[in-house]
Amino acid sequence: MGFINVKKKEVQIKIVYYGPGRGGKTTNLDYINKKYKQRIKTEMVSIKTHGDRTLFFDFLPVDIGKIHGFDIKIQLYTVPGQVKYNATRKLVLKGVDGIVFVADLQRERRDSNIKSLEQMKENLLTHNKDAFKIPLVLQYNKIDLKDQGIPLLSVEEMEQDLNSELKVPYFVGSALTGDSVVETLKKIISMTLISFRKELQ
Amino acid sequence: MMHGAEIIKELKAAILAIEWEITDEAMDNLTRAIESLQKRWAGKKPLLVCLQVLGTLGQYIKKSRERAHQDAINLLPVVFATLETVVTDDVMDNGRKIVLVRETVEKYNRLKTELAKPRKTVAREVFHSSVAERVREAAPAAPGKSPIRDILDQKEDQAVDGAFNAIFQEMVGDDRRGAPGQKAPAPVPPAMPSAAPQAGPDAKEVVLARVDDEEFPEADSLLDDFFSESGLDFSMAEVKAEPVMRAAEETVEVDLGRIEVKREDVAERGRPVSEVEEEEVSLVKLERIIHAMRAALGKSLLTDLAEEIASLRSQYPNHLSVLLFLEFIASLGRHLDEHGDVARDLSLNMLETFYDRLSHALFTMQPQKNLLASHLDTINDYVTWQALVAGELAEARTVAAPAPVQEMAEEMSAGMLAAVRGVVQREVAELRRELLQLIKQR
Ligand SMILES: Nc1nc2c(ncn2[C@@H]2O[C@H](COP(=O)(O)OP(=O)(O)O)[C@@H](O)[C@H]2O)c(=O)[nH]1
Ligand SMILES: [Mg+2]
Repeated sequence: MGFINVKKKEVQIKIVYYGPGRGGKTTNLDYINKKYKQRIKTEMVSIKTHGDRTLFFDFLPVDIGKIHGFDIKIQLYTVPGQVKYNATRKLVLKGVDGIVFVADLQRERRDSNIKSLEQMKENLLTHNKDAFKIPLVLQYNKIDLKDQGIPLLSVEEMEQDLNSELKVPYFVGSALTGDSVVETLKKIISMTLISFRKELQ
Repeated sequence: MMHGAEIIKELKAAILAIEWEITDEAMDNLTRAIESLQKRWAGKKPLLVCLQVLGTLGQYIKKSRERAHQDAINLLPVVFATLETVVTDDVMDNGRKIVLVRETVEKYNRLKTELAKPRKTVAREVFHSSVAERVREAAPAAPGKSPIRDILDQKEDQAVDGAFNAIFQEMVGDDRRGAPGQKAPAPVPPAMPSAAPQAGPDAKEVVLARVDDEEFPEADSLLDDFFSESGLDFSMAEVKAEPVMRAAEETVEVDLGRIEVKREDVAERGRPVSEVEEEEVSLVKLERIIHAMRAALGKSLLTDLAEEIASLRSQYPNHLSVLLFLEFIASLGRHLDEHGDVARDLSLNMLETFYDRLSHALFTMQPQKNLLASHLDTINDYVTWQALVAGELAEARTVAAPAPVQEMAEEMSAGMLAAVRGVVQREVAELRRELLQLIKQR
């Protein structure tokens, strides 16, 4: 559920980067933050702890401009990867409008990708959301490792593992070099904005 | 012929999956991978030994799940690393490889001895049969959820929820806040967690659904504009040259405990990217010291330990749970410093166990009751350890000064006692409150 405030002429959209730990979610946000820092104007925030609880996620607000007079405010979040932080993952998904699932191309992370996606689907269900309905984009990350001779999964394998049923757009890229990072983000924002289209006209 | 790395890739995947999460499926994959390799390597003793150790550890972990000893879970990748070296390292000679396997098996044997030790001592019995056990009974770890478990989970979520709310309001404020000269404050995040009130009375919710075959040219051109390359003073070289610094100076880290915004220490990040841990916490140094002690115990490490404990104490002056664990860890450190030869392995194991529990207590989102059990276990283990060490010290009369024996027996320092009392009181009160609530709901 995105928010549209007709009086303030403002739209708020929440995008969450989800995926296995160390897959490159934070690196995606870092890249965006660094590259567009003059345009973003706000600061990236990493939330670490609260007393004896840990709430790990990154938060980057980006105001991209106006459509039909409406300010479009995008909030980017990442979730923590570690198993024990599922409570935080669930919470960050609350009220999500669009998801970028960052999968790791390294062959040895194959199971982690699959598990994480499954868990994402489950976590969405607890918020009455459906992975088959929500705007979703996959990013197959760390393609740069190919040059280092590290065994990677093929795009066909990734598609088979993760996208055979979802059938959503995917991007092969590298958060480290910035390959496809912007394309991925543009795609997910565009997909969520399409859902707002009627409201904005 | 298949390459070594290729042969063990399934096993590797299984081990990594377990690192991610212990599930039946992950454990079954491990068993399967081991069985297939056992056939392939028939007759190759060192390889089979490694497989056997992996198999036994796997079975133990599968059986005991989250109750599995952390050392067992930690040992799994260590054994695998040995196996991987033996299989894939073309440079290392066979003699060295056999030594490596032997050392690994030795680690396993030590763990086995540790695990086989009678868990029930007198002191332990007292605790277990009383509070800790009852707490466990009240909320069994079984998959079928108990009402208490539900409530605790709920409470946990609410607590986290509340924290989010408070933090976001404090942190991002509303559009008008923000001191002059500061960067524009971030907008209030929507829908996190109680979206509607934050979005204001004029806000309207829009349920977003995926629309595959529509276009929104205005949106796309806005995105093209915003993300266009022109006018950016940004080059890829910059990113590559200082990957760790990337955005570090742009990042504001918030310690939610105190809700104050502080700039991230850029210098701190000056490490190789590969070493950047995901959930970096301030126990990193303590952990490093404790692990190093296992490898080579020395005076300087013990000094480091004492210093790090002092620094942690001052960082968490009000965190009773942390203080409690630190007391015990400090005491073990002092013992190793003064009588490093007495009950050395046991003390080192204890140190690691306490550290694990501390890190869990500090960074877990576990409900209160688990922390209580963990504190009681620790007090208990400490008392047991202390009795044992005092006994050994008394026996080994070679120790010149008799004084420590006396001191040891009573060495539950004032600080320790205060910490224990505080923690237990607080937790018991909390549990009582929860129970009363539960009773009322009935
Ligand atoms: N080679 C390579 N490393 C990456 C890439 N993306 C992330 N990493 C590295 O992977 C590690 C984990 O990345 P991070 O963004 O923290 O993962 P997160 O847990 O998903 O947030 C870091 O050391 C990154 O530098 C990538 O595209 N290529
Ligand atoms: Mg991250």
